Amino acid sequence: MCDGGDWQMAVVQIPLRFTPVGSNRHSMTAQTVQQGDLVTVIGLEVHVQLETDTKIFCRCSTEQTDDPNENVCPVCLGLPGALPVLNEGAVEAAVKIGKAIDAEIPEETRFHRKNYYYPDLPKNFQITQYDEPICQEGELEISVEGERRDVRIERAHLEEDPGSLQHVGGSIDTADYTLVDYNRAGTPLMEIVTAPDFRSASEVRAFLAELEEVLEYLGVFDAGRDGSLRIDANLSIIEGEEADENGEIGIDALEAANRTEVKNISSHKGAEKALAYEETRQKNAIKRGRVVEQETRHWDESRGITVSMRSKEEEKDYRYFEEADLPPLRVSHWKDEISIPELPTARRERFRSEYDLNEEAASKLTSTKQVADFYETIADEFDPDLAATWVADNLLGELNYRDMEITDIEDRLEEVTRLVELVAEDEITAKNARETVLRDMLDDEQDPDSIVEEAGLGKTDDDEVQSAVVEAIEENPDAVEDYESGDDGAINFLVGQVMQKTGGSADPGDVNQLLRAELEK
Amino acid sequence: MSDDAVTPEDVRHVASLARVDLEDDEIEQFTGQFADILEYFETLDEVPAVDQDAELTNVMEPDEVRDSLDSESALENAPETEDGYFKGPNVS
Amino acid sequence: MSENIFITDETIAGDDDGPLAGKTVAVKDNISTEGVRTTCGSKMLEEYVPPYDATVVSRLKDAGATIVGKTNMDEFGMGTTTETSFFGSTDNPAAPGHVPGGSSGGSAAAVAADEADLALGSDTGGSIRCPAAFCGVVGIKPTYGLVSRYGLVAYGNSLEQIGPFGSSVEEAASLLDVIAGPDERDATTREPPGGAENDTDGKSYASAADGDVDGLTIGVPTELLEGADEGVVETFWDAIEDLEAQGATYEEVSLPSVEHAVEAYYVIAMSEASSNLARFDGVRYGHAAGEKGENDNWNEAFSQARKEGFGDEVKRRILLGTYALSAGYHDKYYKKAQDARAWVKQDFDEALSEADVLASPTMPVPPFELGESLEDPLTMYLADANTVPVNLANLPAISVPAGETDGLPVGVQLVGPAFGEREIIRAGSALE
Repeated sequence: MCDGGDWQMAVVQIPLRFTPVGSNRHSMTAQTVQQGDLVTVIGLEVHVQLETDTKIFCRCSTEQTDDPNENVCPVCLGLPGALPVLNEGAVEAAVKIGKAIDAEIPEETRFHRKNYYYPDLPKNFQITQYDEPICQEGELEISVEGERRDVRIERAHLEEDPGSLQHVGGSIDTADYTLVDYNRAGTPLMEIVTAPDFRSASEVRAFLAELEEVLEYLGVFDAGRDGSLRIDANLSIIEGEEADENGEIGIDALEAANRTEVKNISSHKGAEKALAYEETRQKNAIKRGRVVEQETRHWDESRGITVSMRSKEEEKDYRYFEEADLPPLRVSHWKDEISIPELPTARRERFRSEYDLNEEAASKLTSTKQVADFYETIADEFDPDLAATWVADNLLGELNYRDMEITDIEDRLEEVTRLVELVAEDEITAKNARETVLRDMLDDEQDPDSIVEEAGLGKTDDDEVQSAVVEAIEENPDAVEDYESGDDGAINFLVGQVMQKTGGSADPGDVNQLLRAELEK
Repeated sequence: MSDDAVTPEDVRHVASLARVDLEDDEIEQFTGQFADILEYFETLDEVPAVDQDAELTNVMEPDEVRDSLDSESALENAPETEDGYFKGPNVS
Repeated sequence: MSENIFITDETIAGDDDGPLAGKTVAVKDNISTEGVRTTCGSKMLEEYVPPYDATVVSRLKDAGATIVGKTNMDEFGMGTTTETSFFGSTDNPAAPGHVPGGSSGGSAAAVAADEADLALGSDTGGSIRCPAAFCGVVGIKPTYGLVSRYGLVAYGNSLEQIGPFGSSVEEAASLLDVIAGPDERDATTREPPGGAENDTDGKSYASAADGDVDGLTIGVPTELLEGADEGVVETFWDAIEDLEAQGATYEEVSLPSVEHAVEAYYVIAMSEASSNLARFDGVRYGHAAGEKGENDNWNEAFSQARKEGFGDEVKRRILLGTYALSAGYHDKYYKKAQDARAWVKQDFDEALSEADVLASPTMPVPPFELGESLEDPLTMYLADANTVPVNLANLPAISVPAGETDGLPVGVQLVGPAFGEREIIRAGSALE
């Protein structure tokens, strides 16, 4: 049976440390597991909403609406007689994901019905994939504290999202009644199931951040969409003595250990907090000699704790069987036909070598595909270092300060390019460009040339500065006398005069030099 | 039936999985009938394993939006609604 | 209308012209009609009014047909007599006091009683052919995938097809012409695959009803005659002789797998039904629980609604289907039934490589008396022995009236290769 996330699905050996894949990777120093050590083992089921225009089995829009039950039709309402028809866009997205995680796309894959009753499920079964998922045995490289390793992805399959419930008059178990909205029902989901390869909550966070980045690079996922990422995690604590001489924990020990399934996690930050909490809770229980219950727990984000769902749950018997309304898929060849963009890890590497960037800058500049694309445009047109400063520090810094993303100014990137051009061609000072022009651009939506002109920030040409220097010397004989008698501070007064005449557009350092040269004549 | 006869408990179990509330006399009646029917189904044991290829594959539609139902028609058959939502009992 | 043929009498006008202009069509009440209630013969859907038309209904309207009502049927198609309907049984116009067959009993009766020129039924395991045989009319179960199921309330979705009834083969075929053909809303529909045998040359199904059986080879599966009523068998052989006289030849063939067809059919149909009928919980549509206690939660409300809304046979099949799919039994029942299905397909493919069509009595027995047969479900299931193998094999079949035994109608079933509707229409028309 393969109810996603069950340990049975794990491969036989569960390494206590990540297994380095490929010879050029760092391998972690093998941890020596001591008697009495408690080892945390975590596996994930990540539900990702795919960014398609229509639902997976009908052509209702996936757009979020203000009112409930707006984007619904006989199919996604489960009306009698309606039939599912598969969305090609969702299959393409799944193949892209498969390609990105280097998964196998089997020759033939099909859909099954998972039968269970729940009011958010219009048909009281969910169309999903069972023993023949579209992606099998992939992996994703992550970086934790400078170490790079692969997390094994056992499977990733397509399924339909249920509708959404509102509990009226109380919480889930005290409500008077429930209101149901099926707008979300039928949104394509990819459920990504990892091996139990995580040993800490921070590793989980790193994985989820990387996964989100990859999915956004592929253009199949919108992280900004409410509820687009939902995580269930299985966590258990294994006693160190269960490990073999290589420090690895076998499937038997893993199966024998009680685990909790933590549900209702909706972000990578939330995952880290929820799992750190759950890890501590279980470790404390074990240290006090108590048994950890095998149960489902709910992450209560606002209180920062996990809460037992009070295992009133009925026995799970999903009675999977083939969905005869959907013919099987034979799309393994799509993997060769569909192209995917360069992925964040590879791009980071290339940025470091090709543009000579440090790790921090490379990482910032590849955080989203849009940022990386923009950086490359600027770097290729002007200069990689200048581009790095402008994109990674100035632009992302100012955007971050305003709680904005690069996608919010998608249609103004040409103006930012123009601003960098003004700096590159020495037409305005870097300081003015950063502190005045860029900020005004973001706050007042003006284009850089008008800002420069209105504020008179254009660098004055040399002749103008030179005549201002001459004038200042002529008009201030006292200051000149002071300077000549050894009062070096008098030069500052003269610099101020020149700056005043040039409306602040001259470079004070340059002015200083010019004044000294003129006075030496 | 031979080794695993159908019990009233089995009938109750599937009735609960299938969300069908049954009266005691229905359980009794179904227990007897299921025993006969399942015994008959057991002759499937004699069937050899047979493979077959799918006759039809890769039926998909392009990702292009079509009109949805207006929400009034979506809700018109619902026994209870509230503010555009379907309404039902609590989920605990 | 003393026969209780219609659940809902309502006229739905079609376009002004088209191939079915001036024709009246009765529609089985499990086929969705926008704005006209579609009950499936169940209390569960007593007040359900679909907001959309089934594809076949749109095609009827476009073809100019006038729909005259929604016909009685066994609840959700589960029955062989139309007696499991929540709306009462239907009398057989061709044999008063007897059942019209099922589950599309109302549709066959509508044509037999001349309440409609034509009718649509659905056939999951014989539900068109059985009532056609019992009511002395023609019924066609098309190849799986020829006619769209969009809007047909599902019972056994891997098995069923919508198909036509008519008072003659040509009439029934003319309705098939209108409803056949791929539909983007049903992913299991397709164009008939190419090849000389199925080369349509744009010719209609109706034009294939030319009665020309000269040179036709008819296979008679011996297994489908075993245990049949003597009078039925006699009438059947008379029909075969009639075809021989017109230039056809017959040979006996063997389909060893059909011994397991009834078990396989019921396991698959019940399993699918348990899932297909799960959606009826009283939230989005359909009967909602009558008495709600204060502490009722969702599960109790669902169970109550389904207890009140479903009849015995529906409950029986849902529970048995749930059992057959449940942990520990899936491999023993559901999986073995799939093997049996594949085996039946193989057998039919082989037999149809030797013969052009296969022939058998449609039903092994003449129509039951009303009320005779409700008690023992298993006996009823066995009456489907000749029709269910065809659904397992996804093949087309026609039932054509072949005479009477003791004054009761007998039908002959002709089975063709996949998308070989023209073959069975041609052979069937030779029996008229």
